[in-house]
Amino acid sequence: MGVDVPFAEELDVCLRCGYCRSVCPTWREVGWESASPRGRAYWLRRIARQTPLDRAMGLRPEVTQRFFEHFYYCTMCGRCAEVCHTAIPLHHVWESCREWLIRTGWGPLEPHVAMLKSLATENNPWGHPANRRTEWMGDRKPAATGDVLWFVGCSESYTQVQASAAGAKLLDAAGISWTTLGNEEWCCGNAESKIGATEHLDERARHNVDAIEATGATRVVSGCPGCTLTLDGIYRDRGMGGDFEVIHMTQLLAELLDEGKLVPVKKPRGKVIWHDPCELGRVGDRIYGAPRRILDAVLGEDNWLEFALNRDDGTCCGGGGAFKGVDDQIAVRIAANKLEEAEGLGASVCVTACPTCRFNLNHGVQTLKRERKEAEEGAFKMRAMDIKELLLRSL
Amino acid sequence: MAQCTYTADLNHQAGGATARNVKGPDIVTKLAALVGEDRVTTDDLERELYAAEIANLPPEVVYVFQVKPDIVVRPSCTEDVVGTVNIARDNRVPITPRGAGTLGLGGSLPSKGGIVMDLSSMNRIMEVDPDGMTATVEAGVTWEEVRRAARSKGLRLGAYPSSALSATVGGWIGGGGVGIGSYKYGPAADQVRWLEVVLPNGHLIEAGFRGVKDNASGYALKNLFVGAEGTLGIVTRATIRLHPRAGDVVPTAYAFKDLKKAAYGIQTLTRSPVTPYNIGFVDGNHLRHLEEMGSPVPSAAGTVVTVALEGHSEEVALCNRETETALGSAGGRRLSEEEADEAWLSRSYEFRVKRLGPGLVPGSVFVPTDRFPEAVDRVYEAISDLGMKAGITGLVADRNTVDLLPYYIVDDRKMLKGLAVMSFMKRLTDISLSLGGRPVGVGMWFAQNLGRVHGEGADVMRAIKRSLDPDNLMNPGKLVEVGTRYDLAVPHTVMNAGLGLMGVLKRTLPPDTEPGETAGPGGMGWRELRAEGDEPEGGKDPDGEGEEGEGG
Ligand SMILES: Cc1cc2nc3c(=O)[nH]c(=O)nc-3n(C[C@H](O)[C@H](O)[C@H](O)COP(=O)(O)OP(=O)(O)OC[C@H]3O[C@@H](n4cnc5c(N)ncnc54)[C@H](O)[C@@H]3O)c2cc1C
Ligand code: SF4
Ligand code: SF4
Repeated sequence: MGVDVPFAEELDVCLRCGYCRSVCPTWREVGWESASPRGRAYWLRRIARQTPLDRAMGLRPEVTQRFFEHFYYCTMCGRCAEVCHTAIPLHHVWESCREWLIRTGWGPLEPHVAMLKSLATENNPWGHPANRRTEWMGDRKPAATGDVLWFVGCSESYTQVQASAAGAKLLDAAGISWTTLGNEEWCCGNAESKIGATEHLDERARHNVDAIEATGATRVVSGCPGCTLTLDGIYRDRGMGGDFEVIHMTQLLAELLDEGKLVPVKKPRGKVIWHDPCELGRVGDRIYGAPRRILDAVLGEDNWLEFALNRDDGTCCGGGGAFKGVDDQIAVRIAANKLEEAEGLGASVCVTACPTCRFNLNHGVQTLKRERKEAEEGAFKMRAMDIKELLLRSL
Repeated sequence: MAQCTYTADLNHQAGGATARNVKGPDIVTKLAALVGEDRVTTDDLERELYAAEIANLPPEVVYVFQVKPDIVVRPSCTEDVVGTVNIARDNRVPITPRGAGTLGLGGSLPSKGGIVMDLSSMNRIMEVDPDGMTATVEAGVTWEEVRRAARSKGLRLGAYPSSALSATVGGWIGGGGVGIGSYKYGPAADQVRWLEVVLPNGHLIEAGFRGVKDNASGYALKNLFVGAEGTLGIVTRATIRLHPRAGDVVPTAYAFKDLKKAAYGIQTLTRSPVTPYNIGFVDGNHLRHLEEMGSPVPSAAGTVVTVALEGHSEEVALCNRETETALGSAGGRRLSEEEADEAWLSRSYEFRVKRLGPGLVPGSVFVPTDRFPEAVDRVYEAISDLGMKAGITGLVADRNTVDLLPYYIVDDRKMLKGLAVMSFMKRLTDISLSLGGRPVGVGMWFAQNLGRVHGEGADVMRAIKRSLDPDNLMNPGKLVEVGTRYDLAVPHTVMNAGLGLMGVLKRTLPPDTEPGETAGPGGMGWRELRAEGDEPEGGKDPDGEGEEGEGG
């Protein structure tokens, strides 16, 4: 009699303790139970487990417009799952239920329609022409094959090009021969899987995996944790994994530092604080050591700052989960909260290793600068950058 | 967060007559003008979500109580609360304060609809004063946030509910319970120095003193609101006492053959002059449940007692020796440091065994420490009588008091089995009262117990309630009265007889567990509670790497 909701058995286990709610960055801003992981889990269960009594009481627990919209008030940061009292894999629940919502005709949300259209025609979510994917490289001509295949990703190809430019210089400086898929690199599909519109995901996976295998590369590196998570975890979960290793750029750079192929000689200015990207950390392969080794090498041990909550407990920047398009104001507010915490701890440079975090944190920096100016509260002194940029400054 | 510009009319006078649900667009419009459009709703989904709390309600409940609010309001400051209370009173609409909604027992659900006021957006930490050793916070701040704020200034929060990750300051004050650290630092009441409270008549008062303790002449006004379950007013701010933090909490753990043996050990420990930070225990059934879920468990443990130590290093060392002697003499075997760490880190995850249900019904009763072993026998008897799959956890609240937290695992998708929920609770209440103890929470489901627990004192409580809330609008149907949606007061005897009947019915059903399960040996395995852990925060990876690439 109930509706076939994904993960219904898991949702049965929810205690409604609200641990997930108190750590949820979007709930903190919205405040309504319907925009909280607990609220979502409860209502999904009610939909899945309708009882005769529901009928007798004239109730038909169902998806409503508010429920649907608030379902996307979520950055997919995975903190809810991390603290869940009963260990429900909540971020998988969100992903599968977004798919279910789209399958049952509720979605996609208006702001996601344009993204999906751009993905269908240009193979990136931002509406940039597919044939300009490699423009960030300028005159640089990557080798046809190489030690590593760099899967640059949409963000570092089109918008966060300072990060990719630094990456290229670092790999060159270390004497690594690297190649990319050029204009044949398609969006990995992370955005579609986050939105729940997975219709073309396998097609996308096939294309990228085939293209990578055609280069003969056995090692794929990406500076985007969303790409590494998708190329590795998500493709493999769908039985589409390729015959190659996927690592994050921080792992490669840490290796190059260990091997002495990169040697920092200068200390970049400013007090650095490190932000763990969710998809590099708890949502992904829990890569916490590599970026910290880089920071130690560049700045010296104990010469940079940690947020009070870090690693598995690190707080979200607000930029993930295809949420920025849904409510940019709240996404930026989440970043601003984090940056104000950084300021309070004495930091002036917030370093991360994810282009989505970099983008949203910078958005937060601009917003705080503007707000402080308008309120005549003095300057907000902070920069947000990728760890590749920081490392490059030290050479 | 919205700026509060509303200025409270603190001299608003109370109206007369009895409570009636007056719905209407004008109330919502007034509330929206007061707190802001985005902080008040009548959306059906939202109201359904605020009709839920921990544990699935027996479905019949909705026939009797109107647990679904008509309006939900999320104030952002004290002035919003004052204004909302005034609007509610002018319109004779009941109002139910709510924090994270984790008390259970229907505590933060309305009994007659009306307004639910969700205070969790009032979450500002106003001040942490390292010199005065206090923190002043809004009522919606979680205890975990207070703990971390204290820690960032080198101080310790004394005690907190094990649900600290979500439980709000106002909510624990409302419930008035004991928690982690209460053995050394006292119950909820002792954590709080000063309260700002909005009374049912809209007046804003201060109770207690921010800088000094309040144990001098005058009625203990501050404590009147502790354990009031939101029936006397709404706490908007509190000043919390903090303590010097000498270092991390040092957990130790001991395995016993069974809970009764452990109970004797704990008795001995409470008679020793040392004061550990916290004494908690889980019985063999609980360990077996964990094992059933695939958690690794130490071998041959029929009960695990975790004694957490804290304070000056010499104090910790002394306490450690005394604990070893007391528990060792009762047959306790000391577990490894790793096992003790895991037990401590999982202190906020006691109900993860809900997975085996998938329903779980927790109970909480106080029993005198000197009758602890007897209580253990009696609870096991009830468990086996009712044919339940159940376990016992608990903590020692102070030298005289053990907080027994038996829980019952149930498949709440099956309606008939859900019936036993209430009868289990009644049995626990009976046991605790007959041993000179008491049930801990009352809420909506057990309001009929107030007289049984407090005798004629219950009448005094009702008189206090009437004098502060003559219109009976502040969380009606809780604690001091059983209030149904039809304004019918259910006689206590009828309610108790009904609960007894449910027990009879449950006994006619097949047992939830195979015989003999109730006291078997088991093991332990703990899910790490990282956010709550007392290990240093902000440290760097001690061994540099190692976690990479493995996935999680
Ligand atoms: C996993 C788990 C562990 C728990 N461990 C403990 C424990 O160790 N010790 C313990 O005592 N309890 C414990 N509890 C019960 C409960 O979590 C606590 O009582 C908690 O403090 C309630 O906080 P809350 O914010 O959820 O309050 P709610 O449940 O929302 O409210 C509790 C009561 O206080 C009233 N109230 C809420 N806010 C205010 C306010 N601002 N002013 C006036 N009244 C208000 C409500 O109307 C209600 O009657 C536990 C519960 C769970 C689920
Ligand atoms: S933390 Fe887990 S068990 Fe608790 S309310 Fe959230 S989903 Fe439910
Ligand atoms: S994934 Fe993050 S944003 Fe989404 S519900 Fe969980 S905690 Fe909230």
